[in-house]
Amino acid sequence: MHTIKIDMEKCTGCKKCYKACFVDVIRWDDTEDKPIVKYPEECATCNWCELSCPVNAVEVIPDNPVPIPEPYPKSFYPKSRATS
Amino acid sequence: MTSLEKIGEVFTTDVLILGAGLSGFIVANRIKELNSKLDVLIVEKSTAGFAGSKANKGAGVMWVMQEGDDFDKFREYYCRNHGHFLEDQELLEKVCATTRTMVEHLERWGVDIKREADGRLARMEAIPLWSLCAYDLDIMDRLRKVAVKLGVKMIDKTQFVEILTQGKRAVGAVGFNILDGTYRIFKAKSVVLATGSCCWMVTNMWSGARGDGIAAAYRAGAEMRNAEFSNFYNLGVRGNMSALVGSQYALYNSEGEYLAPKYCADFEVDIDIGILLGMEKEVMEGKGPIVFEETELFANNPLAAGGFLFRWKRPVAEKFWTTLMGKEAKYNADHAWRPEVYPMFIGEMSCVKADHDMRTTFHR
Repeated sequence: MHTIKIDMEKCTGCKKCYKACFVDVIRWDDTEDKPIVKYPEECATCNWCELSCPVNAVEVIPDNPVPIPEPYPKSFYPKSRATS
Repeated sequence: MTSLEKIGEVFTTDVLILGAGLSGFIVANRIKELNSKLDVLIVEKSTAGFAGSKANKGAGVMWVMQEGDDFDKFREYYCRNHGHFLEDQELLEKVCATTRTMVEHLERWGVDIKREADGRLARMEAIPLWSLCAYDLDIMDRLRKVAVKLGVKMIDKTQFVEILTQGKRAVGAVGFNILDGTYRIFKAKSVVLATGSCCWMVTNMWSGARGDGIAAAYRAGAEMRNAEFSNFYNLGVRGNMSALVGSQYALYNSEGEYLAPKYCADFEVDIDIGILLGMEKEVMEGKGPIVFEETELFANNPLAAGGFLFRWKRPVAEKFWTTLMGKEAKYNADHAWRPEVYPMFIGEMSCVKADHDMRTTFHR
C-alpha cells in the first residue's frame, strides 16, 4: 500500500496537502490542526500533496511494483516467456 | 409540505457548474466576464484550484490550431485516420477555431503558455497538422485566482450525485458534503456538467474524473452517444502506473531487433494499434519479452515528446516531473537495463450527447 509520510513537527497547518489531494486520501483534524492520511490505499501517487507543502513535510512513498495482470500469459501465448 | 431546508443545506444560483476542473473554471470565468451580474457557483468534490484530473498533473500540453494550421487538412487527417469518417466535421471546425480563442483567454488569465522568441506559440514541430503547446502546471491555481476576483462562488468537498430535473430541464443538483455527510441541494437556472469523463484511477493523472456526472446525466434521462472508450494506448514499465509516451520508437525484441521500422509509421500520434499487434506477434513467435531502451526515447523518437517538454522553463512542471520520475526510479522494482514493457490502455469515455453549443438534450 502506498504511504504518505507527514512530518508533524515541520507541519504548519496550512492545509495545502489536504486541499491538494484530489482523491480524498488526506483529511483534516480540526482539533489538532494537522492532516490525517485517511485512505492511503486510494492514493494515486501523483505527489501533488508533497509538491504543495511549503515546508517539505510531506513525502509520498509509492508501494511499487503495482501488481498488474500478465499481458502475455502462457495459456494464450505458449511461446511467451512469462512464468505463468 | 416539508421545506427543502429541513432536508439539507440549500444553495440557489443562476449557473451551477459541477466540477472545478479546467472546463469548469473556464466556463465560470467566461460567464462572469460576459455578464458579471449572473451568480455562478462551482461545486467540486475535492478542492477548487487543486482539482481536475489532467490539466495540472500531466505533461502540461494542449492542442491548438495556430495561425497557419490548415483546418481542412486537419479535418481530412482526422476523418481518414480516426473514427472512420464518423467525425462531426462542422463541430471539428468549431473546436479548431475555439482553441485559438481559448489560448487568448488563458493567457489573459495569467496562465503561463510558452511562446517562441518571435511570439509564435511554442509548438512541437514533429506534429505536422496541428500545434501542441506547453504551459506550466500552476494553471488551476491561476484560474481559481481569476475566478475569485470575478466573484465566482465555490463549494468544495461536495460530491454531487444527481441532477435535479423539472420535465426536460435541468434545474439543479443534489449531493453531500463528503466530510460530514450533510445533504446539499443546489437550485439553478442553468446547470453545466464539467465533471470530466469516465477514467478513474487509470494512471496517476487520470484519477480525478470518475464518470459521476455522466452517470447522473444518464440517470436523469439525458441522451448519450458514442458510448465507447476513446482512448490512447500506451506502454508501461512493469511496476508503476506511468505511461511511456513515444516509447513505440524505442522497443526491442529478445533477439535485439529494433521494432519501430516493422510496426510503426514514420509519424504517429501517441501509440497506434500497429505496435501493439506487433508486440503480440513477436511474443507469439517466441521473441518476447519486449523491452524498452530509455536512451532512445528522446534520440530516435520523431515525436521527441520529452525533448519538447523539457525545452521550456516551467518551474512547476519541472518540479512535478522530476519528483514523479525520481520516485519511479527509486521505488520501481525493475531497475534492469532495457526493462520489459507491457501494453496499457488509457481509456476514457465521455458519452453525453451535446449539440454544437454543448447543450445536452436537457434544454429550455
